Amino acid sequence: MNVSPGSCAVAERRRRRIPSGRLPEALPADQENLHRLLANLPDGVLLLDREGRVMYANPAAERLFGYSPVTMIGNVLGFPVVEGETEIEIPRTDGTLRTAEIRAVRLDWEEELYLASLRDVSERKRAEDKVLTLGRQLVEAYETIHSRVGKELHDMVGQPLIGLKLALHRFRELQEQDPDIGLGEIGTLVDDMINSIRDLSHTLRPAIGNGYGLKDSLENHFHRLESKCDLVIRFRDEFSEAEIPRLTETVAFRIIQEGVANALRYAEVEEVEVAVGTSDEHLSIRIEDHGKGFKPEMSEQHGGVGLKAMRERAELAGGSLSVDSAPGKGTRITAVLPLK
Amino acid sequence: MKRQPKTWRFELYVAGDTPRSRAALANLERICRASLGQDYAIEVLDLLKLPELWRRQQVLATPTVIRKAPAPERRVIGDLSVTEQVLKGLDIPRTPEGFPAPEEPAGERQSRELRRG
Repeated sequence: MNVSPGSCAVAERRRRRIPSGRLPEALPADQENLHRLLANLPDGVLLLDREGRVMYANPAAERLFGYSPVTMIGNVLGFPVVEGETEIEIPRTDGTLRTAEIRAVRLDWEEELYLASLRDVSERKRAEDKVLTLGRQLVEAYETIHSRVGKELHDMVGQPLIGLKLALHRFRELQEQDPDIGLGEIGTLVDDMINSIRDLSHTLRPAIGNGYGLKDSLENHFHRLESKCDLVIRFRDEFSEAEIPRLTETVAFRIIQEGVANALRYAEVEEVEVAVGTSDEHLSIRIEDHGKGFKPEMSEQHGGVGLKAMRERAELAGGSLSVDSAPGKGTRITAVLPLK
Repeated sequence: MKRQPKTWRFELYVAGDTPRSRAALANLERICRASLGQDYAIEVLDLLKLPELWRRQQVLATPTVIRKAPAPERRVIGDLSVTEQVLKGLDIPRTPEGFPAPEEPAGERQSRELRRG
C-alpha cells in the first residue's frame, strides 16, 4: 500500500471512524494542513505497517535516508523495537553513515500501523565523540608529561649528581695527596647540570607566557633550534594589529613547533620556511620545506600521530589544517585559526 | 556427522563493533535462547566490512534483525531491548511456561565477510 500525503485522508477517516464517502467539508483543509506540517517538519516521519514496510515518508525522512521521494515507499525498514527512544545508524545511499534517534508509537487505527519519528543526531554524536577523544588525549598527555619529567630528572639531574658525587669523592682522595689540587672537572659537571636544568625548565614552561607573545616565543624557539640543530628557519611574520586570544596563540605555537620538528626529523632539509600572519578575522600559518615529502593519507593511516595532533589542535581552536605533500615534492602545512 | 540445520535462522546487521551492536546481539541471543532453546543460528553481518551489502541497500538502518527461516522473512530494527516487541516483530512463539534455559550459550554465531570485487 502506498500512502501519499494525500492518502493520509484514509487514515484520518479511520481515526475519526468516519465512513467512506461521508467526509465533512472541513477535512480537505485538514489534509492540506497535515501535509504541509509533515513536509516542513525538521524531523523525519515514517508510517510503517505491521511488517515495518514504509508506507509514508516525509521529506526530512527521505533526506535522512538519502532516498528520492518515490523509492523509499515500499521498502522494509523493519518492525521498530523501541522503548522510549533509541539510536540507530542509517547507512545512506551516498556511502555515509548517519546516526538518528528514533521514537515509535502504535497508532490507534483499525489497521496495525506504527508512526516513527527520526532525528538526525550525527553532528551531536560526532561532537560527543570528539569530547571523549579529547578527554582521553588529555589524560594521556598528563601521563606522558609525568613520565617525561621523571625520565628527564633521572637523566639530566640524577645521573650528573651521581657523577658529581664520584668526582667529589675522587677530589677528596686527590686532595689528601696534594692539598693544592684544583677543582678540575667538578666545575664542568656543575655547569652541565645548570644547562640541563635550564633546558628542562624551558621544556616545562607554557608555550606562550612570561610576557612574550606568539612572535617573540616563536623567535626564541627558532633561535634555540637553530643553535642546536643544523637547520635554518626562515621566519616571515605578517602580524596585523589584531589581538590574538591566548588559546589561539598557544595552539598556533604548538602547531608550528610540531611542523618544524617534523621537517627536522623526516624531511632531510637544511631550511624550513614559516610564515605567520593575522587579518582582522584569522591567524594563518604556513610551514613549508622542499624536502622528501610523503603521502599525507598514508601518514595519517599509519600512525602519523604528529599530523593528527596538529589537525586536532587546529579544530579545537575552531580552525582547520591541511597538508599538501607528495614524495619528492616537499611539504606545505597550512592552518587557519579564527581570532574571534 | 552432518550437523542438523537450525529451524530458526537470523541475520543481525550492525555498523561496526559498537556498544549498541553488542547490546543488540546480546539481547537477541537472550531472547532466542529463552524461546527457541538451541534450535537457532545468528549470523552477524557488519555493514562497515560489507560494502556490497551497503550498496545494495539490503538494510535501511542498523541494528536490523532479519528472520531468514522459517519463511516468511521478518525484520525488526532497534536495540532489541524489549522482548515482547522482538517476539512480535520476528514472529517468534512466546516462551512456554517453565521452559528450561540452556546452561551453555546455545546457537551458532557466524561472522561472514563477502569477498570484495
